[in-house]
Amino acid sequence: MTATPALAVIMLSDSFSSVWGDLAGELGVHLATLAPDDEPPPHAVATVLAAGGEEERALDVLPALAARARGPLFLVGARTSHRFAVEALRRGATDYFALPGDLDLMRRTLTARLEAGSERARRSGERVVDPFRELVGESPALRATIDKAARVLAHRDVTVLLGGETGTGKELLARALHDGGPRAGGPFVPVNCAAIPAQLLESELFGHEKGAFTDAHRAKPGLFEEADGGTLFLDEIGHLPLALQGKLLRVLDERSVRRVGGTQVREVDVRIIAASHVELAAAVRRGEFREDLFYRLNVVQLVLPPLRERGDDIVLLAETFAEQLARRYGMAVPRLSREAKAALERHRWPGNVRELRHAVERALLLSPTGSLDPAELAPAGDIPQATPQEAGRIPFPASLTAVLHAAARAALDLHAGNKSAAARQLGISRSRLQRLLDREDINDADLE
Amino acid sequence: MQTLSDPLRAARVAVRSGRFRDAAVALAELPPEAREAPEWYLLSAMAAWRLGDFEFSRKLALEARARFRTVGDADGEMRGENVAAAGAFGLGDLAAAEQGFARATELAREIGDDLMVARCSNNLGNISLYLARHDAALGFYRAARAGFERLAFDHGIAETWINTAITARDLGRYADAAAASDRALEAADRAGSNRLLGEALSSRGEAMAALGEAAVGRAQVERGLALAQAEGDKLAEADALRILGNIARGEGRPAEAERLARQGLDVATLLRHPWTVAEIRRDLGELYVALRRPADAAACFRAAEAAFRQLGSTPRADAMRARADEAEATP
Repeated sequence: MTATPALAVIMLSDSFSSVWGDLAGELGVHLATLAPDDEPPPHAVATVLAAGGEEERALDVLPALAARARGPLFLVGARTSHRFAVEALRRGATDYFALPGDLDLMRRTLTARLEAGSERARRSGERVVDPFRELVGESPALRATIDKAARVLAHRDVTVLLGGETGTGKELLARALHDGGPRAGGPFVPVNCAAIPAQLLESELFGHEKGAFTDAHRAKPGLFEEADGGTLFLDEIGHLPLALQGKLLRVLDERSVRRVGGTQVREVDVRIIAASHVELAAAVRRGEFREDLFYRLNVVQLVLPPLRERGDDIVLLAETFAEQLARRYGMAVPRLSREAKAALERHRWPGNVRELRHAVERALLLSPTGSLDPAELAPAGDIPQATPQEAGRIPFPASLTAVLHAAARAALDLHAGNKSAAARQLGISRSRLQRLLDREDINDADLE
Repeated sequence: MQTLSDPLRAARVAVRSGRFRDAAVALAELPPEAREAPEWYLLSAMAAWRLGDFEFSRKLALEARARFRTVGDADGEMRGENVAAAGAFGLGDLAAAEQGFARATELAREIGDDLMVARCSNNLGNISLYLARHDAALGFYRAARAGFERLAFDHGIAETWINTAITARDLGRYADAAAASDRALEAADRAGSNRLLGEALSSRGEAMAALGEAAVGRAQVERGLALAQAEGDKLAEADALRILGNIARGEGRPAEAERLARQGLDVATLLRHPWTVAEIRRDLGELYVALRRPADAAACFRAAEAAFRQLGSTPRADAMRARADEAEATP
């Protein structure tokens, strides 16, 4: 059962007493009138200390009340002095409103708190169940990762490096670590380093001052500042340019950022969770990733297993997705036939959980109502696809052309289709990689 | 003493609950002295904007801003600025809208209103998208999303992902558009909003169809359309019809494509929403090009050009003019 949110009011005086009932009614919350020593209710959207004419006494009461209040604590009085407002804030008030002038401002502040707070409350309500609930599965491989993750949950600042192939659920795990940990009340800010053009990444992460570059018409805080008090999830961190790797290392060491074009150093309280689908240690060996940063990030390493190694989880996940998606599309929850289950287990799922979810969605939308067509789940004649690790293993005897082609394909798979990265890894040009992929045009130079 | 039984209360409650016509009536019927309050101007501006009278809304909002500033109410001033910027946006004065939202952002930052900062950032992203400044748009959406994350405000998070998907689609990056729509769906699910779910499904369906999954895409957009109709979200309905028209065109059913696009155009025209009108006209123009009806295509491109120009979206208007010229040059 969900408790109705309350507006908790502690009346030190009768001034403005008619306001609170109306205000609670307008906000759609329950009004709880308390004595100064009472414990504020757990579902209070805010606690208001009403002190018109009793402002000095309010200042005395504030520190103890601030220690007990579970949400924002507003002091309401009649004094309009700026100095008094500052003193109220210094003693623990979240804000000070001088009535009647600030009545509308107070109403809007409470509305905004309520709007955001209702979603936050719902999320935190879910959180107590199990932060890892989105990582569905019972396989030993997955459980081992979750067990290890659970052991770092309580640590507020520990940096975590997540590994695992594309589509295994790295962001879900990062969010679980945030939601289940001490920073849950702060923001979780995910950033895909591969999705932001390299020339923009610095100002996106660290912010910029007005005039720092041609298009910087106004100052902008970076994502580090936006994540203050919470977690910054740096996905595909292997794509971070070397110059920025140094800057990230400084932020981690000094816990402060300086915007592009700025001189002011701003303290930030951010926990970093980084992820990469490629092995960062290999990138270090190739000189593409700073070793010091790698060790700074790799305090705790968690690796999510590929779906093909998760046995019965495949069917369990498919059933879970079928149920969720049927609800989304307003359809009956379909049944998974024996043939459908067999098709699911036969497939290699190179795109992992994400691929499985899309396959279930496709089958749900295209199969006859009430069932999932095995052909839509995993097409007939589905040739087991080589995993990045297996791609290098080609049957012998093989021609040198086949070996080169296989190497090109394996590098491309390893870098999720990024040809520049694949070429870099093979130590060849992008155009030469393209020739190897095209296969029919392999010339003598490629065979040397 | 000001109490909550003040004369503006009924109008305030009506605005908050989305009954904008009732709010406008309640505000107009107030005695002259009540109509001097800065909040009267602000509420009237909000009601006028939602009723589609952007010019009047902007005038009222600017007056509200000035009056709030006079009494030293920074929060009121920020809200007046924001509504005035929204009015400018509706009128197609993108430069004024951009300046207004930027000022509102600064004021919101000063008074610590995180929700308004994030909303303004999202609006600045929309302006950048209209101006075809895609990288800037994506940056604003990322910043807005971080702000909404800070507040755990899933509605806002879903909106920024939908806008990110539209931007990726505009760039022809359909896989990115599908991925962003996926994230929008997750946030819409968490928010429990069928309106956002419908928008995200249509967006995802469009991307899936472009990626070669026409049947899946169509099913998703059809569900998006059904949700939009159930929610009475006319704008989302018009967009879903546009997308379904495009999918029908891709599947080789031009008559159905034209019917769906025209249906969407009727809805968008009634709403007086120049962006959606322009997009449908543009897509209809491309259909006529494929059908070898150059005169019809040119007329559509010219109409799209006019709508984009009304929005102040010069790069898009110029692109439409070029398409119209090409169509007219076709024998």
